[in-house]
Amino acid sequence: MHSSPVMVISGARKGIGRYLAEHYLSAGWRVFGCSRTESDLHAEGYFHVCLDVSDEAAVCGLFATVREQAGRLDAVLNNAGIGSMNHALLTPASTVQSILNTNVTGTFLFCREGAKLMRLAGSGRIVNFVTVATPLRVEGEAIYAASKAAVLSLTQILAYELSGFGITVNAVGPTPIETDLTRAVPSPKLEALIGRQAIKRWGQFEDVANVTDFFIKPQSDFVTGQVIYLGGVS
Amino acid sequence: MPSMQTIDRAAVAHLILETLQDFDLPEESSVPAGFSEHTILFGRDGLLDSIGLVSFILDVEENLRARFGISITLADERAMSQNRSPFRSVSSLVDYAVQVAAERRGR
Repeated sequence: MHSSPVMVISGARKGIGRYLAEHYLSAGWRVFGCSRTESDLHAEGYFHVCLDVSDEAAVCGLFATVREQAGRLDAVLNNAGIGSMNHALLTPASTVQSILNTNVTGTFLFCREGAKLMRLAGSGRIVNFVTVATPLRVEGEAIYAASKAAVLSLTQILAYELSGFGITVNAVGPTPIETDLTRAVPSPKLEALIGRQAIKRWGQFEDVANVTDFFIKPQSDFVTGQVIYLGGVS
Repeated sequence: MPSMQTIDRAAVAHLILETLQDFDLPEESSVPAGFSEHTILFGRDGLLDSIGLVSFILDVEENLRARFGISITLADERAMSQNRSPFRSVSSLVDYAVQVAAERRGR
């Protein structure tokens, strides 16, 4: 029987999620990653599932697999997210629906199914992903920022609802980091955004891992419902 | 593991009563000498508070999955909107679980 802790990471194929998967694998975790398409990460202790995070049946299937294969779940990192840089007057409803499905419904489903497994052990850590675009009111990101505001609210209320099961729920808000998500945003926009941070530099994957490390460590069992924005944004 | 084809009301009632026996009830609950289908779960004179009910329903769902191999959600919108809560007593919960399981099988 494995004694190493088990984590689920959504959006683990690339970017921040991929970095976190490798980061926690190297720290001895078993990691169940997921994304819409196959991953080329092949490592001992890594398991990948292809799914749409807003597909309820598929998400239930993923957590059933975790239950059957690992028998425990210690942490969930809700990293999967999509955005769309566009003026509100040019944004179709289909884009709004798609962003809400992935960012809000997907995060909720992973929290719900993860918590069902975690409660069996009476402890667990959930880390959701929000964005500095919400507190900075970034023009052109109305729907993305609004979806992440919903994730923040979800985080704060689930912190209360899940505390009785020994589960903490927190959020990290990265600044712009060079990923596929930010590559779609014009450079001047990103530079302007970084200029509004207290610490004016691009974020690194390591900055995010530093916060998730803090939230998931055993000593953080009295820390819940909190959001940490990187770069000094508040 | 019995298949869903063989599930009957008595089997579900047995499972729910077993789940209740194993459930960690709050100390302040006035626990009766024994549990039966007449046992009140939630509401006035019920054994469970709201967080206890959540845990108990999840345990029942988990045991139904483990023993009968079926994944059902008992606390859905329909359950929550009924005038007479299916979570009021063991008996009403058994009836509701059997109904949901049968609907699931019929899909």
